[in-house]
Amino acid sequence: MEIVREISRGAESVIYECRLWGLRCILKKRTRKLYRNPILDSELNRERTKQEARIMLSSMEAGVNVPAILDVDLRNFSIYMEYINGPTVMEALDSKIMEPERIGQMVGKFAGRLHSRGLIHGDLNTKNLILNGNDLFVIDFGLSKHSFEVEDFGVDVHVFLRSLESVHPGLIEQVMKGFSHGYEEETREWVVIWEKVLEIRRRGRYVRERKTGGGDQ
Amino acid sequence: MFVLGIESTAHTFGVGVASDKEPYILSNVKDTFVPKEGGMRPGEVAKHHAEVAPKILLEALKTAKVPMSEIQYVAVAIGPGLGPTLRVGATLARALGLKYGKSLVGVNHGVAHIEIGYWSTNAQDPLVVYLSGGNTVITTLVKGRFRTFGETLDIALGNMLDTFVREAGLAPPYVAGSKHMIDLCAEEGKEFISLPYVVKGQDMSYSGMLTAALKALQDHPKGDVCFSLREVAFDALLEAVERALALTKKKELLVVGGVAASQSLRSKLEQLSTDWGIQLKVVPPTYAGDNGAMIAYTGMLMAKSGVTLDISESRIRPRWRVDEVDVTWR
Ligand SMILES: Nc1ncnc2c1ncn2[C@@H]1O[C@H](COP(=O)(O)OP(=O)(O)O)[C@@H](O)[C@H]1O
Ligand SMILES: [Mg+2]
Repeated sequence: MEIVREISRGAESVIYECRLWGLRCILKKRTRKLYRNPILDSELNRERTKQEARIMLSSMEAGVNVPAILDVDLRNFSIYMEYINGPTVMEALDSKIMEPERIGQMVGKFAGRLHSRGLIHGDLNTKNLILNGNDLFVIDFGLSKHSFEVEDFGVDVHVFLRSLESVHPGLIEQVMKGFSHGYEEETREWVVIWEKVLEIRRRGRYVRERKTGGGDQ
Repeated sequence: MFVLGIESTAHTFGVGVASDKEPYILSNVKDTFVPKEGGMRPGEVAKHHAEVAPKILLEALKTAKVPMSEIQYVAVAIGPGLGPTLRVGATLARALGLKYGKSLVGVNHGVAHIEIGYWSTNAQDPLVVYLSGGNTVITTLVKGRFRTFGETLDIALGNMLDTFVREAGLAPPYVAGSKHMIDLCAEEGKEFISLPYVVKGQDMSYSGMLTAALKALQDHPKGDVCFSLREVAFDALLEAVERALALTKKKELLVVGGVAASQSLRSKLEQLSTDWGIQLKVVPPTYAGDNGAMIAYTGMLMAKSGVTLDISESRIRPRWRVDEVDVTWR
C-alpha cells in the first residue's frame, strides 16, 4: 500500500488517496483531537471506525452504492476503500451538471432504502454524496447507526435539508421535491417522516420559550 | 448619529448608546437579575427590569454624555426571549419614541450578539458560534442571512450546564469570580466517566447528556461528574464546529454570547484553531453577556441602511430566529 497524496482534512479524519495492487484507493484515518479528552477521543475513534465499516457493508447489501471496503485497521482508526471518481452533490448542485430534482430523487431513494433496513446514515450532508457518472454513491458513515425510530429517520432528512439551506438556499424546493419522490419509491412512510422533520425543526428553536414559560404576544 | 439601545430579552436589563463614528460605543449600562434560588420566573424578572429601567436609562445617557434630544433612534431587542421581559423593553422604547418623537429600530437579540462580535474582534468573514443561556447556534452569513449550520436539537449548552449545577446543588449563583460553577466543580474531578456524546450531522443534543449526568451524581463524586459533563458537552460542540469549518472552509472562528466567557471552552477552541490554522476571535467579556450596547450598535447599523420600525409594528417576537432576519446592512 502506498500513499499518493492527502485529499482532504475533514472534521474528524484525514483522507488520503492511496494505491493498492495498482488499484486507486482511499485511506480514511481518524485523527486524535488534541482538544478532546483523551479517553473519550480513543473511545469515539475506535467505535466510529468500527461502526462505519459495519454499516457500509450493510448498506452495500441493501443495494445502496458505497465504496467497497478493502481493509479495516482498528488500531490506527483506518479504513481502506475503493476510490469513487466524481463531484460531491454539493459541487454538482453548484455546477448544474444534473437537474437538482433528479439529484434529490437519487438521494431520497437511497435514504429511503437505508431507512427501510433500519440503517441511519447520521451525517447525510451534500458533501457526503458523490456523483459518479449517473450513479450516486454514499460515503462517510462515521455517525451511522442501526435504528427503526422515526426520530432517527427524521434527523437524517433534517441534516440533508440543513446542508442545502446553508449552501444552496435557492435549490431547496426542487431538490426536496425529488427527494420525497425517491424516498416514496422505497417506503410508504414519507408523510410521517416529513411531519417528524418539521417537529424536529420546531424543537431546538423554541426550547427556551417552553423551558422558561415565556408567553407569546 | 446617536442610537439608544435597550436589551431586556432575559435576565439582564441593559441600555447602551452607540454612534456611527469612533469610538462607536459610548455607554453600556446593565443590571442582571439574580434569583435567590432555583431558576428564573419570567414575571419576577420582568418586575426587576421595570424597577431598574429608569435608573439604567439615565445612567447610560449620562455616561455617553448624549442628551435624549440628540438621540436619533431608539433600538430595542424585540426577540427572541421571554414574553414578559421583552415587553418591558418594548414598552420603554415605545414610550421614548412617542414622548421624544424618535423612530424605533427592532433588533434581533441574536443578530446583535453576532454584530457586536464582528465589531469588537474586527472579524471579516467568520464562522460564528453563538452560545448563550438559550442559544447554541453555529452560523455564517450566506446571501443576506445568518444561515444555521448547526444548533442544538433540544436544550442549549448554557441552559444545560446551568440546570446541572442547580440540580446538583452548586448554584445559584451560577458564576463566581469569572468562573462558571461547572468549571469550579470540575477542578475537583479526577476520573472521566462515560456520558452520552451526541452529534448528529452538525447538530448537537444535550438533554440525554444532562439526564445521564444527573443520574451519575448518585454513585460518582460531584467533581468527576462536573468534569466529565463539561468535557463531553464542549467536545460535542467543538466537533460540530469542526464539521461546519470543513463545510464552509472559513478562516476565522468568531465566538459570541455569554458562554464565550468560559476559560475552559476557550482553551479547547484555541487548540482547535491551531489545528485548523484559523484565527480565533472571542468577543471580550464586556460584550459577551446580554447588554444594551450591542442593541444600540446593531440598531445604528440597521438605521443607517434604513431599517426602522413603526410603533404600530413594534410588537415583540419571542420566537424570532436569527436566520429569519434579512441582514440588509451587510
Ligand atoms: N471513497 C471515496 N472516493 C472518493 N473520494 C472520497 C472517498 N471518501 C472520501 N472522499 C473525499 O474525502 C472527503 C471527506 O471524506 P469523509 O469520509 O466524508 O470524511 P469526513 O468525516 O472528514 O467528512 C469527501 O467529501 C470526499 O471528497
Ligand atoms: Mg464527510
